[in-house]
Amino acid sequence: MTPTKISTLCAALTMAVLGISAAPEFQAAESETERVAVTDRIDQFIEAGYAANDVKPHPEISDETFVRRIYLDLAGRIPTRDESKVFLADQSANKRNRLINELLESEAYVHHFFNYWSDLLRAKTRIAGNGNSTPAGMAYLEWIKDALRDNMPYDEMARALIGADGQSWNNGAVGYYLRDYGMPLDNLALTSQVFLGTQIVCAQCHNHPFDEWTQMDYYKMAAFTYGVLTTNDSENAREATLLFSQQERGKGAGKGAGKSNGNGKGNNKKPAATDADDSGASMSMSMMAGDGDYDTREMRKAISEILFPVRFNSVRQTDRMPRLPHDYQYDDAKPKAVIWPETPFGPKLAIDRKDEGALDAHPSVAFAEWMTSPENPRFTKVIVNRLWKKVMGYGLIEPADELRAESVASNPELLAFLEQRFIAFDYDMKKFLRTLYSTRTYQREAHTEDVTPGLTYHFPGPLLRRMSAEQIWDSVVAMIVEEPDARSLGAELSRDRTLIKTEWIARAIYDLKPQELLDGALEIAAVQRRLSEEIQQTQVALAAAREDGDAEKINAAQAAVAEIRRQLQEHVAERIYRRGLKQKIELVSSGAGAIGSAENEGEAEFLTDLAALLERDPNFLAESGKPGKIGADDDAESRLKGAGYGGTLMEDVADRIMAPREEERRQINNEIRERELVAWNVDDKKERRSYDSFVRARNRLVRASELPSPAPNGHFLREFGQSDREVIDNANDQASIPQALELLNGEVITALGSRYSLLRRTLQDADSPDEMVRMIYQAMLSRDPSAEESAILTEALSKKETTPVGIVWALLNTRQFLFIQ
Amino acid sequence: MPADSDLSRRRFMARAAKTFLGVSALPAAGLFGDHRLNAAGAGASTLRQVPTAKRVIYLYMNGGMSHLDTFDPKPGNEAMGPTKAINTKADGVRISEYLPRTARQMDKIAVINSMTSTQGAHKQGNYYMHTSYELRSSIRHPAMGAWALKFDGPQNPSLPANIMIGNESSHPGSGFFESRFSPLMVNNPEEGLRNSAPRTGVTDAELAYHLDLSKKLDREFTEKYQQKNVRAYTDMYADAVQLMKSRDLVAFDIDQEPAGLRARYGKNPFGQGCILARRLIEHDVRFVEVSLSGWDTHNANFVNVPEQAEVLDNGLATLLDDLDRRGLLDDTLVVLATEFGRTPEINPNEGRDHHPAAFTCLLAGGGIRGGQIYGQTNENGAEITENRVRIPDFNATIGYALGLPLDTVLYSPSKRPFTLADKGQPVTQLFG
Repeated sequence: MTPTKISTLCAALTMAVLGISAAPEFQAAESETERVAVTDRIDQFIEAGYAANDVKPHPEISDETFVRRIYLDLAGRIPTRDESKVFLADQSANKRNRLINELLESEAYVHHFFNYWSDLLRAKTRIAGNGNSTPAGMAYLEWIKDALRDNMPYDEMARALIGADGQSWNNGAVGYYLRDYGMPLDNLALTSQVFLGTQIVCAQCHNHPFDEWTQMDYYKMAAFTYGVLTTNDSENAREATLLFSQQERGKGAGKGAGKSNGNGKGNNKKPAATDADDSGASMSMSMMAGDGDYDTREMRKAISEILFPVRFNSVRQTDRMPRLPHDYQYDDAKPKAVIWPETPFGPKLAIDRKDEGALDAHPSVAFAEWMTSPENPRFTKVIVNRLWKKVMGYGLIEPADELRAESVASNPELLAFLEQRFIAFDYDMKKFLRTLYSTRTYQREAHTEDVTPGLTYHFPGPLLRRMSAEQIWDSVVAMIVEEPDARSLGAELSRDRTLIKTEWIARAIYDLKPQELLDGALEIAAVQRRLSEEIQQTQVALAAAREDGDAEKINAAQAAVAEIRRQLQEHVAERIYRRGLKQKIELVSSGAGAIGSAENEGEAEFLTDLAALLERDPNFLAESGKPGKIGADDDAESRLKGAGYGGTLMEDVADRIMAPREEERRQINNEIRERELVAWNVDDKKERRSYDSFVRARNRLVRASELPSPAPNGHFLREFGQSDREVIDNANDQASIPQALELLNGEVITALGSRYSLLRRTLQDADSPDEMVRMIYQAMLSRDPSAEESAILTEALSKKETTPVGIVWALLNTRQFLFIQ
Repeated sequence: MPADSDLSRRRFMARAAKTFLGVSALPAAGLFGDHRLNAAGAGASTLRQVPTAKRVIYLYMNGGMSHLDTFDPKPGNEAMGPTKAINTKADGVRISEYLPRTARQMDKIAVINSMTSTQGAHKQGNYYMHTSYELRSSIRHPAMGAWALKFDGPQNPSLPANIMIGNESSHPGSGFFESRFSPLMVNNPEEGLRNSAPRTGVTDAELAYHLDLSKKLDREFTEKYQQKNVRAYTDMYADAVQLMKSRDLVAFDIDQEPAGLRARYGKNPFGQGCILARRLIEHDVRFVEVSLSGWDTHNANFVNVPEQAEVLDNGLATLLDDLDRRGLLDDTLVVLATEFGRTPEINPNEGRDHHPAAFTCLLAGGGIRGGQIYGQTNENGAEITENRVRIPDFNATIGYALGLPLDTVLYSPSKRPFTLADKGQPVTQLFG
């Protein structure tokens, strides 16, 4: 089938889909009327601005310019040649609006707007700047994508983020707080900037120098969210710690005392040796090696070792309140005074000491309600202005995240109208965007000059913009792979594996009884002590080896330390995680009721998954964490002594959970390979090699939103200015030398030039130089070449001065490829 | 105002420069490129000290280098664990036994044992050291290399002037300055500058032909859109092509170095990064940072530090020796920095934890008087007892050596005022 025929067919299908049944048609008609009314009104406001300021609007764009622009703006990439041909061939009057609707409902929209939101929210895969924080990071990124896909209303999204609590695996929104791990005051400044367009960060340390905020305002506002804790603990760990000090005190006060004797602060004191027979701890203590006495520090260390793999995953809402800094310099309060929440503007919301204990919701939830209420003077204004800027390239108020009392929009009536509409739309972002993209204002030619700072821009057309780093990358992806918007299966499996592993470890720990956890912690403390002695011995050996200059022994000593560290982790896994999972298995195996009587949905899901794994792999736990099979035994010590202790318990468990899906993935990849080898006539060895190298490159060519956020330093995306996600809206579009080197000499051009790339395979159908040039232009610039362009290139091809890949190379390195007209 | 007070201040500064450095405070025109300074905008200082260094090699010890086990040993104190001190080429300067080769270069180094930071976490500490400002989520401050370029521009226009070697992804880069002041990242020193050569099989003539073709095809577009960023891309392509053709590109190729010398630097990314740094500054690259990770020794400090120190020892000692032999040390400032030191207490894992209260950084070359120790800590290295140097002071010292205007205020896009080292005071006693 020729491409033209395919496109005709696609067009027919699109029409068919849009007319499927009467009811949606009626709804569509109604919302269509509404859209027309709103877009007309927007255009009228803008056009009134032209008249009043003597501005001549730019002409309406051609369909060719529109299709490339709208794909880049909504789908985040250039259209493929087929996609633009379908649109251009369509003769119907409302085809632009239809394409806007279609793109808003596509997965491509999710990919593209995710980039926008993760830049705004500084969402990172390693959320707290550390390897251990990837589960929460991945869950957060996924939460953002889900919210966009489901078109979660914007106000609801804000409330979900600010009121977030729970764990990463059951509520990805906790990433909002984990992102600012241990920095609640900074987090509030960011909340204020993102959602209220208000920069109050200066007021963290002193009264704002050129705005109305005082340091007191800042602390009062911060008090709403200051109680949101990101620390790594659990209820049973808190109780275990309490138990420990009670038992220690009991020991200190003599047998059987068990209660505080008033000397409760002496936790750090190492108690005298005692026959610990007065509590539940006695049994395990007598089992332990060593003298069985541990100080609070050792016990806490052991608990933190146990909780280590689940840190950066939990957010807990409490009523903790902040204190003013020690050097607070104003008269309205003393340094270090406790501050209670109060909002600085809009409808007043305050909580004070007498409300303590009587609140219906946590302060952060109350704050989110205040913030997102339509009466809040800034909440709607800020998002409306941001989205306008996203669409047109310039805000009605600039800078978009620094609203002040005296800020005036370039078109105040329009801004007010947009605010009012967005509220009437119930903060439906897709509906709002659809309206903006449908305006005549958007569909005008791009502004040809720079906007002069300080002068008002009246929007004779949107601004000319360089593609974002993600748009460039994703456009390249769309020229190379067949389904550019497909989600990455590899990324999905690695995300699920990471999250499941973390969740299972957490469930193994969190549901142990405090005394069980304490017993386990004391066992770990014993191991810590022993290993610390081993490290000291290794140090002695190392010093001797250094003296002798014996490189081999130095290496051996260094390896020994790594081994000791690994052993500690494995002891934790064996003594705590295995114990916890065992209890869960017993629960599931005890009868059908377990899942039904689970405490919550998350627990029920976990038990269901566990039951399924047991069904498939009944001995999974016994067989994890060691090579080969051994009989059922739960003697951790003997397991660990086994010479070949190979696997890591929870890694093995995760492997087993994921096994069927990994297998499925292998099969899918094999099928694709078999199909392509035939379809693309890959016959001989040499071709197979080049096919394989193309597939390797293709595996990396997924949408930017499916790669780690941000991409690592030196990645194509970073070279082109992808945000490092450290500061709000930190992407840039500035030229730098590595960008040119990348597009002239980098891997991208190699992949694009591969005979298996989508673009190259498309060009196979060209039967003349003329046709070849036209197809390249259609694929890269969504238009036919001008007569002049065609003449230059056809001649160059005929004279063999260049090749089709050479033309692609030259076009990729033009400004008109990189800038969105 | 204050014309008077301004004048007297200038006089004072000029006198101070003379006193401390024996030099005049008049800018040496050839070095500065004064037009660039003027371009930096209002508030620009009219006074700059004469630079003692033209270039910087900045070695960053990522993770928090234990001062006790490297440059501030406390022989006989129980805080030392098994670490011992050795004598060095500089009289009265003793350092850790893990740095024997550096000990022989000690006459070139000024050890600052009285560094102190306000930041106890890695990211915050690293950021503070690089920028002199505390990490805020609402702004990115520029690092030193970006400040140097902002004020002075490149010395060799055909090469990038600010280069970062290593895998450090949290570098603050150009902060709120234009991104062209960001360091160019070289992840792997053996690989050099990525994509700087045409793809296999592409000739120079083909490259030139296709660049010309691009230009022809783009003519209409570039004529229609007379915008700054469009022009910037056109200029940037010209720069990139100039770089690809530049004879200086060879600076990135460490294969040009003799195998023996490369081995002495250490066959590891840090050592090879150091030799690349030397090649780059030989070609007048202004600011090169090389990072060495792995100093976060919470566990088994006395096993891990010797291993780290060996890498540092080979890289640093060979670098100083090599620069000296080539006559480059006189105008190249070598800096060794880290986010904080480590506790005198040895924790239950035989490790040391973060210790921002007191730690050590080094300066060498570029007008610094070698063989001296500046500042002092108490008997176990926990507290500073003499000549405290805050991080802004340390960075001001680097800026001072480069002759950068420490008092020039530049504004971020959010209109907040910033200076090169946040009003830090240069430690002028280190020079001469």
